[in-house]
Amino acid sequence: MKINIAGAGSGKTTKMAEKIIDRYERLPAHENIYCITFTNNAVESIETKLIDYFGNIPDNIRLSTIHSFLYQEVIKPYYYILYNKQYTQISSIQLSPEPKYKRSKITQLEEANILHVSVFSERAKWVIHKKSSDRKKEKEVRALILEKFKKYCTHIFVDEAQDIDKHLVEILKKIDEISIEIELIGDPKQDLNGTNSLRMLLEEYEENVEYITICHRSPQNHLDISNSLFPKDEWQHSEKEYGTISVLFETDINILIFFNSTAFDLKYISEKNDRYSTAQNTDIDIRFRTLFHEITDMLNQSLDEIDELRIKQIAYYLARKLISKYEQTNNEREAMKIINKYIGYDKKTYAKVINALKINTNVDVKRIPLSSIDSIKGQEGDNCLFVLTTDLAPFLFLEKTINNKTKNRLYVALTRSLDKLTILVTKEVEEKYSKEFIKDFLKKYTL
Amino acid sequence: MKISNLIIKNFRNIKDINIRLTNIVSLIGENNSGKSNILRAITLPFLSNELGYNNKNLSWFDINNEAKDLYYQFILENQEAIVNETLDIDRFSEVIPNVTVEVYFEVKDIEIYFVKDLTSRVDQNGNINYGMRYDFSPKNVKEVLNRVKEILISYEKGSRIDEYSIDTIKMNLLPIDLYSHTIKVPEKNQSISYDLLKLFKYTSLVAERDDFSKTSERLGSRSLVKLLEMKLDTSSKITVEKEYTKFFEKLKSLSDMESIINWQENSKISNAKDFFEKISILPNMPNMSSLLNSVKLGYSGEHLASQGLGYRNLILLFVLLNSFIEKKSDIAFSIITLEEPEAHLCSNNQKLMASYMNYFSTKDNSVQLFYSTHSTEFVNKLDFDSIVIVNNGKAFSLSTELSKGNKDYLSKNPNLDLYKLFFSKKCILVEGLTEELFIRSYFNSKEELNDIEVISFHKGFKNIMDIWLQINQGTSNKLGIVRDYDNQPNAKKEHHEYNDYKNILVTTTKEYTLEPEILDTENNFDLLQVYFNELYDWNCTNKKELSDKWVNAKSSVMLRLCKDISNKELTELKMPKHIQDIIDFLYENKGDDSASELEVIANEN
Repeated sequence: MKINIAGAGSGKTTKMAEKIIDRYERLPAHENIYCITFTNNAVESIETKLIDYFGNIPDNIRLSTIHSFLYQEVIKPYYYILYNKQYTQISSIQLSPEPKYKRSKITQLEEANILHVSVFSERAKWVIHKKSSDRKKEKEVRALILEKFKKYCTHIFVDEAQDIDKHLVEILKKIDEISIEIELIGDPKQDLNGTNSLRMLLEEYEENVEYITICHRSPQNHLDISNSLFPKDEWQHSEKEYGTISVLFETDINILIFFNSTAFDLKYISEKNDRYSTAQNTDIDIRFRTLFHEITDMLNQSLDEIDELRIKQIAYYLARKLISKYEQTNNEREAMKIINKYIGYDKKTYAKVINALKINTNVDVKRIPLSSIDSIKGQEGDNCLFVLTTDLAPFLFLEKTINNKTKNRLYVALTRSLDKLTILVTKEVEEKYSKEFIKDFLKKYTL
Repeated sequence: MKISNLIIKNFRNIKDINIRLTNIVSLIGENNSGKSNILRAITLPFLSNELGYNNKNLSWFDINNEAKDLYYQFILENQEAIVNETLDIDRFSEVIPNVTVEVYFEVKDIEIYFVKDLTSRVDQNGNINYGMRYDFSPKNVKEVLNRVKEILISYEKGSRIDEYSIDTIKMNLLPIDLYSHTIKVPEKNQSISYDLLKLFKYTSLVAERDDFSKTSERLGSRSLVKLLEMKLDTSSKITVEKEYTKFFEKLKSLSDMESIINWQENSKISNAKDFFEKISILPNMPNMSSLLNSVKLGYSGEHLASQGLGYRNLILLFVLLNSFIEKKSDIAFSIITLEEPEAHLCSNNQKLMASYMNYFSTKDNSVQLFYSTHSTEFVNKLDFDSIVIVNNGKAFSLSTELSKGNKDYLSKNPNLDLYKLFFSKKCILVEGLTEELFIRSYFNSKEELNDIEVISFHKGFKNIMDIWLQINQGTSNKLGIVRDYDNQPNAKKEHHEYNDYKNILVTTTKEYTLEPEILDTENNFDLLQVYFNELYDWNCTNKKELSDKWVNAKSSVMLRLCKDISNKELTELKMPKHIQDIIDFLYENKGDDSASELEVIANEN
């Protein structure tokens, strides 16, 4: 397993595409290169690079998101012959944050042969690596599967490898063990889920690690701040010597006027608070999907005579009608009247449907809308605004040095700008550290 | 890649078969045995290579009659329960006839990617099986049951139906409109996506293909046009279009077409010119396949249409097979089904075609060729594994049914006629050419016996009897076997056990060889003593002396004797008892009881 550590702005995607192209030129016709990324955006940007080079994506370069890879290449073909269970559908409905409810929902879905995306990596691990309940037979079948698998899957590239979870780590280690070539590219400093898995792999595969220290995005003085957070090995350097860094204090300005009068390419904060909101419009369909699923379930219970297609048809219709009614009236109980006759007195079902209806609708008009740092990962801008909050401040002022996702958030926040970076210090941070200390601490970077 | 296993259930006359297949599959069998049905069934899990023909739903008539009879019987017996809604739906599901065709693939390592989503199970040998299953069955069994109930209630105002009246409503009782087809991974029960399905194609050439290239205008075969089209790459298609445009411009200028539609001069309306001027002639390029359709195939400078059926057929097959030699990147696997490649071909062209097909099968081209044939030219004598014998809706692959020794033996006897062996009404197997010759000559002298086939085979008939029995289940064919004793009482005992079957009779010589046995029969000694004396001046006074002389004589002696028997010069000669028993057996209706009697007689011998 080869690991490439490439910090923010180092041209990871280009590097990745180059490596794939290089490997492809020497690839026998029946072998396949799998390139795995974590988002559809990343798939697209590698796709663009490959199309620029080849004109089209060659048949045996297979780009996919991690979910699609795990399902299409691992679970769908092989899960059945190991565990005698075949999923006929996959689902990405919203799950409760409560582990108990989450588990019971996943079980309920599984009974209907539906696999939820959140357990893809675990199930794929059961196929490739192991499951604790495995006996001799499963081990033998697994050996057989791996033998077949490596006949066509000969190379795997993983982009954004800091986002791999603990199950994927086991999968990749196993795949490496059966001598499929694996190359990871990623940045442990941008691990915002706090899985720490890439750091663990770094230690384990120490001799195969390569650091790409050049940064094409941020100016050197921006990097000086971010470098201060991490060991020397991971320091980045830039060809651009200087970019503006300005420090503003909430207490010095009227934030409403400030935000109305000043434009930024990116503006972000660690987490929303009483003054700032972080609208999460990442997945606008999730409400509909969840609602559709709950209504289908409900109809399956109340109308047992009708066929599957018809139930889906009705559920689809009702879900749309509910949402439009809710948007018109802004009153969820009023909207629910549409389907009350199907629910009857079943309070549990009522709660499920109404919760699904309310997903993602807490729009806040009073607070200032910003992006969360997690949501702008991978993006960049000439002029960026970073709102410094009390969770990140101790890391910036080097009071805390532990490697965790909070520190990584700070790193991401500091490495977005191509030129201008404005740090807006919240009044809570100022209260804790004082204006003088902060100005003084940042002086060496802002000069 | 190839299909290594084929399972068909309830399709037309095929009740239930499960056979192993090799790279090339020759189906042999009599008319109506089910060869064409197997060829049709095997295409059901695959998409057609022909444009626009992919209808995979079947009709009432495509469902096996036996399966239907079971179903109707069940309805007859459970009428009340169906009407009262007390019938267990699971019991009903069990008897509803479903048509299934299941294929399993043998894949090379480099092809595994194509079949990874077809993994269905790990078999006892620890191999992963890759398969596809076509299934034609009711979507919802309950709906079928409800329909049956409605019919039973409304039938003649609720009177009970019986086995005669059910005949009038059979079609209604099995509502095909509630059936649909699915193509899934066996066991896993997962539908196969279209993206995957389209990597697996079939091309079918049915026996009625005489229209091919019949008219002089057209190539005449859609598949051929399509193959031509497939061979044209984009740049060649552009060239064709450019050339067509050039051709059109030339045509326009030569014929002065623009002025043909030049009516404004003839019009009295003042602004007619504005209107008529805009009328122009535009090229109307036919689509690629019509262009290709206007190509004619020729042979030796003559149009194919003016060639005979045989040549047309030969050329069609050559062109078709040839186009599959190159591997196509968008197809993982193709099957070609071909009915009677020998159609209209003379024996020399059959040999040509057969050798080409053998060559084709050795090519690594991920194409599997299935054909049915009645011609021995197309039965590959060197590769019995490729032969599937079809009889009465049953099929047996010689690759699994015959031991290696037997296959080797069959290969060493290239003139052995498998058709005669397996499909004759009356057939006698003997151990050597002498016996064959002798028995044949006797039959020649008796007109009433000339429908018996005599075939010589090597020692040890048990395997061949096993196959013969399987193939001939439910037929009225009979097999007689004449063995030499050879001082092997155990072998005799084992072979005679087959006399338990009422369509087989095995007899064994008492003596070591045939000659003394002949002399021992009735007046044969007197007859032959005179015969040999007249011809060769043999003066033998007893059977032993004559027998020894005869056994040690040149083969020409036996040959001459046989000729003379054949020419009815020794009409008094009788067959030895063990042979006569078989003749009697072949011509009588051997009931269950007499089987044991005959066995006793045979054993006494």
